[in-house]
Amino acid sequence: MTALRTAIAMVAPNRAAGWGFLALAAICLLALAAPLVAPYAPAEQDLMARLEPPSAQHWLGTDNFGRDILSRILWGARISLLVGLGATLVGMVIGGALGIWAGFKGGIVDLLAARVIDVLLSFPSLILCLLIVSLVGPGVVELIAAIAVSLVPKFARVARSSAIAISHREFVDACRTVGGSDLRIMLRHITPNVVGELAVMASLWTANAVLIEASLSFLGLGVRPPTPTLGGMMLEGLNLLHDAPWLTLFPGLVILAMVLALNLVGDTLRDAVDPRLREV
Amino acid sequence: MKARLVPPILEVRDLRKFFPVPGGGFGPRQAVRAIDGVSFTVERGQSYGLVGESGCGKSTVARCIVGLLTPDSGRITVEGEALTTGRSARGRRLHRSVQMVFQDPFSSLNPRLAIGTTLAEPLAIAGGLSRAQIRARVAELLREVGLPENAAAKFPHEFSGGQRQRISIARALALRPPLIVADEPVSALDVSVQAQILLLLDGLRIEHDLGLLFISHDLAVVRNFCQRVAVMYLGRIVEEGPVERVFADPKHPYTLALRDSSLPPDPAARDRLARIEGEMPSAIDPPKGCHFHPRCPRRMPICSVEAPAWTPFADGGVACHLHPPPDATVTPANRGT
Repeated sequence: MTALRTAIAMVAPNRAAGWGFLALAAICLLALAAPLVAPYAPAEQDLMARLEPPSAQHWLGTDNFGRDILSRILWGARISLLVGLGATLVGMVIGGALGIWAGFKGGIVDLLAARVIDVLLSFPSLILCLLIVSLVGPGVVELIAAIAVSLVPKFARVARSSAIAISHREFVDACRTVGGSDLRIMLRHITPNVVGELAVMASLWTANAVLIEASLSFLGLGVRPPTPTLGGMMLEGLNLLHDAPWLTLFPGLVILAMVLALNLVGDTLRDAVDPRLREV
Repeated sequence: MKARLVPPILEVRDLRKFFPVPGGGFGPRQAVRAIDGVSFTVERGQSYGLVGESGCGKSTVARCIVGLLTPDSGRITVEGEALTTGRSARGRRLHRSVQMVFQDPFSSLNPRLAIGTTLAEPLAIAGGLSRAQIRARVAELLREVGLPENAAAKFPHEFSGGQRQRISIARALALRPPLIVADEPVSALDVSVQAQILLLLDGLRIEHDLGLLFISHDLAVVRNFCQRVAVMYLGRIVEEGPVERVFADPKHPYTLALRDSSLPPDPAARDRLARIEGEMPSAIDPPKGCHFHPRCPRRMPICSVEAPAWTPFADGGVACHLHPPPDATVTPANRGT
């Protein structure tokens, strides 16, 4: 709570962060409200109006099947945000729990966990996701699972190092001397002190997850058509890049805006949580 | 040993704790000999000082007594019952009868928990109280340590070091333990605040008839605050006795040097004061014989060969070759109390 208040206090004078929050809020609202605000259904074909450039009828043009790009972007952004946020949340919860457990327990548990984290971290996220998706097949849930798995070691590493530092604080000993169980110590004393840091990481990794989702969809390994996704739309537009650049350009710009906004927000949150900056 | 009706609140016998040194490589396994045969007794309502330089093992003693560390050997008895350091329910219950006040008031409170939650935690773990009873007990604890009742809703960062230490004391009192171990409870505080916290502890000791094991490197504080004192050097107790005797007439050269180093500076007297030269040696490879001999101004040939036996006095005792025991079979482990 204090971190959030500090974050808001810091956003006020910071213009870039303000734009980031604003843009993110706008994207989220529009994506959520897609069924209400989208002018056409995302799969509605109009073969008389194929590959039309932006116009009054179709603000961002139409694709090869005459589908409205704006509507598809709005619906696609929903998938992107769902996958990005979902994967990050799952990755944060699992990675955070594993990291806290390893860091708190120490000893052989920690040694093994640290090695496994290192091995998993040595795979680039995208490659790991490619591997998993090619094993389990495409789909929203599969994508979320694959990206979450690639994020687990990243969250686990940060949670582990924080948990090690906090385990040595005297309030943990104090809880032990009154008979507190390990579970209680981890849940009540370590997790609340780690979660702020993880939340900041999460906002930055959500941007990454959105990018991975777009990349996988672009490679044809994401959500199956006709469900619109931003990456998938770019793939569809690729062959027509010369004739109808709007097919690729607009989804690309939305991905850019989303990632940029998430990064700005993440940076601001990081500064807010960093105690060295807060004490000033 | 005299027969006694009431067992002492705390009895420590021949406590030993070595920490293995990691890494090592070849050769024999090394260990930090943190405590090497420590024995002492704290009576109900007594304030007992344990003093020594940093690294002498006094905090290790404290952590063994509250159950944060498992001693390698030796016996810790609280109110006549041996503390089992295991995970058994009985061991845990017994350990709750010893509570600790920590050194660093900034690290001993969880910054994310309101004070009321921190104070309620021991009560919640112990169980058997309703929410309303816990709330009432928290308010009572805050009152006892001289904090306003509305402190319960605040967070640690809203308090000063001295106030935080009061909260830490309240937490230690929550389960009404008969014994509190205070590990350097005032060394992190401003001098002006130190006296307040010491007065608070002393008042609580008298009011609740608490045993208080007071661990400190500051002899001046121990002198004003404790009834008995044990002086530790490199994992062993070198001298023990009533505070007045130990300070008025220190038998061990180390005690003497420690006392003189804590006297108020008097330029005229400075040359007459005993001083300790050098640093405390490593506890991994302590000097043979008497651990103190390399720094001792009065060392004799025997000091580097043989560890001094415990010489009991009418009250207390010393381990020093300057004061050989009348009967050399008495050791700290079997001396009477």
